[in-house]
Amino acid sequence: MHGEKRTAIMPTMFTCRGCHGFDSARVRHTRALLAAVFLLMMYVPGQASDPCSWAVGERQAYTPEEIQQGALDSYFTGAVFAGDSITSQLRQYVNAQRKQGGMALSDAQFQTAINYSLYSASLYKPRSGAVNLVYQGRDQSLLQAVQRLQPARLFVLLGANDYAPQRAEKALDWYKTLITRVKEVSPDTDIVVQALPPVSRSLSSKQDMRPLWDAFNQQLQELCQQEGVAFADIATPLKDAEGYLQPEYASKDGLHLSAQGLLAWVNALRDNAHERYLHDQWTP
Amino acid sequence: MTSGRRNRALCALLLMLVVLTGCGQKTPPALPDVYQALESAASLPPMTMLDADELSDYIGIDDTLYSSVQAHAAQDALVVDAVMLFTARDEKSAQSIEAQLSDYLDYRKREMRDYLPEQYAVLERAVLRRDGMQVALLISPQVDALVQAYEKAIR
Repeated sequence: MHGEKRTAIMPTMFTCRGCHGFDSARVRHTRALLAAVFLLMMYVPGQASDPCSWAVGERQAYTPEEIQQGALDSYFTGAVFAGDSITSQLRQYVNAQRKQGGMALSDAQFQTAINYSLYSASLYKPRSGAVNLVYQGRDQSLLQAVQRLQPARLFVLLGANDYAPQRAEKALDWYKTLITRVKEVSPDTDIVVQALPPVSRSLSSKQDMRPLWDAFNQQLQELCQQEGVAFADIATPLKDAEGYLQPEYASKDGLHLSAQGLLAWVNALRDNAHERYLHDQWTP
Repeated sequence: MTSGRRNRALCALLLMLVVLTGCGQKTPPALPDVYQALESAASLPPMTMLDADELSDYIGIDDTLYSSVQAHAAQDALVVDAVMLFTARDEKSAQSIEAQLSDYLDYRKREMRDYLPEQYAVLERAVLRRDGMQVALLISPQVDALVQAYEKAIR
């Protein structure tokens, strides 16, 4: 696929449009042909003479249209999305798309509960009396679900119900515990921690929550680097110019996402898949 | 056999047929029709139909327990409205379905109790009932209208 894309570009680069006579045209064509051959030699991986311009193993970028149409959705094959009400909304959105015959996040499964907390998710067993995940009508912990499913990739978005930005130190500890334990129960799972989506302007009327949210996401990203797991910044694409959740992406309560917001989130995840693909972190 | 005896035998046969038919199980109501009746009786939010896998994985109701199902839940994850109708295979299955639905209702309450009080209030008024092989869970702010329509539809 990448070869096709590249060769399609070449002829347009060397089209001779200014030939006046047969001889000069032939000379120009010959030069153009030689230049093309030279460029092609530089381009072929392993034969690059200038590694700065044609890095060995460099991957061809997909267009935004291709990405949004799901060209890299195999990134989500065998994946599990774990989260609270925000991810529950994504589950419903994706299920509705699938039932209408649409394609959304490949065959990814969801392990979500309304009001589910990061703290609960970090525990091996379900918490008595608290909100847990549920499987076949019985409470289970996220770690039990991960152990059972052994997902290829685990996308986590938790912390809003723990007031994570307001008590970042504790929340980051819980995240660290969760990451360590997921690695323990499912060593081959690629863990992707997602940023907390931005807050809407309406929720910041009394106190501007943006700095707290942004600082937490920054710390979360640093934790992911330390722990060697991926971080998906899904927050930035959902922000308006001032850093709040874009109004059209917000539901009435200002905390959850509208259908438009959910689509923007899916596309942000697709962009993350593309970014990781370009950095050779997975292969479609 | 005289014609009198033949007539009496015929009458007895007819009587037996009537009695047996009467004693036999009532034809279960067609659940799509029942759901349609409920939809007309109350204004439900946009709903999505749950398939056998969802019913098994999420609620724990295996498809071996029922012969027919119409299970719908609100498309919006933050809205608790649901209409779940089952025709159980037998009495024991009907009890199992009822127990699983009761657990599901408790679970939804736990999710919403400290989170969305107005949705919790809707769950508090939810109706779970078993009428022979018919089991229904009705969750809606207009649950009374749903119950009325349900009773009429399964009669």
